[in-house]
Amino acid sequence: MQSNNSRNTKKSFIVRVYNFFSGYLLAVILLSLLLLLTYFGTMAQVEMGLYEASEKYFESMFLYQNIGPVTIILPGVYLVSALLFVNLFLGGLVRARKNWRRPGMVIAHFGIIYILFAGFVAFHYTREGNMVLYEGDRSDEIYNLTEWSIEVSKYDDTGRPSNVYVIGPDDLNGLWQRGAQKTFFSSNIPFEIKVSGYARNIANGKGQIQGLLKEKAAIEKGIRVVEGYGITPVETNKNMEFNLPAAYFDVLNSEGKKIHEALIIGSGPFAPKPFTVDVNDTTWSIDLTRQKFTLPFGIELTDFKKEDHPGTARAREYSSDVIKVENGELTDNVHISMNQPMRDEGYTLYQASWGPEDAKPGDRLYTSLAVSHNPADQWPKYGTYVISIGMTIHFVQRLVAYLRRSSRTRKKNQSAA
Amino acid sequence: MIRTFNFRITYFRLIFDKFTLMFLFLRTLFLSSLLLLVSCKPSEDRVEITKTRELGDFAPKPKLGLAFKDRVGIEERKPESNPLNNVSFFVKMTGPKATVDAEIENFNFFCDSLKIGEGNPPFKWSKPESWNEESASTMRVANFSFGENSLGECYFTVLPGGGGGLVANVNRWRKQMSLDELNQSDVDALKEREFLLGNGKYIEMEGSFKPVGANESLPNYKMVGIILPELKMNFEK
Repeated sequence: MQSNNSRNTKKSFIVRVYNFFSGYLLAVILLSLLLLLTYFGTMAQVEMGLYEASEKYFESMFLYQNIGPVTIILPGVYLVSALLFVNLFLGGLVRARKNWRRPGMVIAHFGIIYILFAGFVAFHYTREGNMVLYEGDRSDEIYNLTEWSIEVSKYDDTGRPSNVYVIGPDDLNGLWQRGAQKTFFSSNIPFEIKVSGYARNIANGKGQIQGLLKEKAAIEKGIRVVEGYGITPVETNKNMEFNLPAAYFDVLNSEGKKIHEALIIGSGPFAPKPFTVDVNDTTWSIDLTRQKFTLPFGIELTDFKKEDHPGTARAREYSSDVIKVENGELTDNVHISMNQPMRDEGYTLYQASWGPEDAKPGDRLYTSLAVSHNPADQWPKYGTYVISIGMTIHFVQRLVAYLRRSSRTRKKNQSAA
Repeated sequence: MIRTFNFRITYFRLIFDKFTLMFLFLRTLFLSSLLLLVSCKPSEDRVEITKTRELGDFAPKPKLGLAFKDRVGIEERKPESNPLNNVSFFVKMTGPKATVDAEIENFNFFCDSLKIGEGNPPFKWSKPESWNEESASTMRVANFSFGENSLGECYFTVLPGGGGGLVANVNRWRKQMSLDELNQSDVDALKEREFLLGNGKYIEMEGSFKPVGANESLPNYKMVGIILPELKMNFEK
């Protein structure tokens, strides 16, 4: 009897938890938090810039928020969205009454859950980057404007990399904290790489390497000197693409002894000049580079057109004529303009910008294409359709029910009269 | 009556239960955040490299075996016979007259705070609280906006050489304010004011302001500025 009671109590607690996670109270709390976080996140973009505000408010589990002199801890949009997903799934699909009188609301809830899931997939599996091409250039690599990675490459006799090992942005996460260091290793690489003193940015807003100090200045400040220079972080730019990272790299042998050291500054994608080491008669390079992705096909820019507003150097319209290159063969001709992207093999190539910014009339221009590979690219659109269908069914049912009720009341009144 | 009473009991129990669960939920959030705080200590991790990337067919060929300076593109400058350079400094505030008059104190605060610091160009300053920091450019080392609709602006410029000379610069500003040009003796007679590393010429004028590149003038504007021309400086670190 006693055990039966405790089982009932336990069961009722589980039921209560289930009821809470599927209930309106949690939905109201989460939606209020979303409203609050959206407000804070939007306002923070002014001070922090788009990237850091997104990272802090929309991609985090928890965050600190200063409200006047008080600092509070809030859940991030990522956590709130995950809980909202659970709440909608339990409340809107599992717990909701499912009968022919209310199919619309179930469908609409499914649509919202689908959009939340699309957000999750897009957040974790989207590959984004840019491709910059002058007329006649070909490329099949894109580079991320905001994320950096370390690439360790092994070279064959022809001087081309045969293997590229990647230390991604996630692995670098936290290295910029004071005193942080990480040692990277792989069974395929005959040395280990210790990265320390990582500065997220050493350039000022004008592209000058402000955080690079000559030996004398670095020693005066107690900063480590390698290859005649030291680095000190400068304030990160609100536009993350303008930040230039740098770090100290120690190459260690299998016994953990330092065999090389280097100061490496983030490099551009066009003319890579990596740090080179020779280990066991093999040439290796280590490069701090914008995160790169390789496309399954290449793109050749055949023509770039830019039209300016009359009498000014401000672009009114610009577009790129490209040819897809697959297996060494030129295949499709595609025209990419502002609202007309190229979609192929799950990749979308948008006309993003052009350059150089300070080009004079007659200068050679390049096109910059934003490339995105998002498995959930179209899902929010489909989700919206599902919600629209659900809401339409629901409101039509309500309307019909109302009209029937009105008709019955009218008939009743007529017969009574 | 009994039904109402029962209803109230149930209602309060329901609320009580929900708030207990909400408390549990918030407590879980708090504990998780504490865990997060603990895990935020600087790391000394060993991380295995697991990712690889297939190199693109058209990837540019890297240049190998370069020393640091060649990798970064630092060129050794030969020492010049005279390392001192002539440099001119300008600070200018413009805006509707009422706005500029109201911001004079902030202007003085900014000018007094402007000092030689680190970096390139090597200056540091304090921003008046009510001013908005605008992005810097080659011509604007420090750049601010203020006032209603951010119509007021103030910026600090450094130009190598004389920047055309004191008289030409004063008259360039006067032209922007739709005022007649001054001659050398008029300019010499302008008030002096301590600024940065010496005494600059203090300029204050009212008129119709024509911003660079604009077709129309803005009436009832005021400009306040200091020009410190052709100071010999060495920016080598």
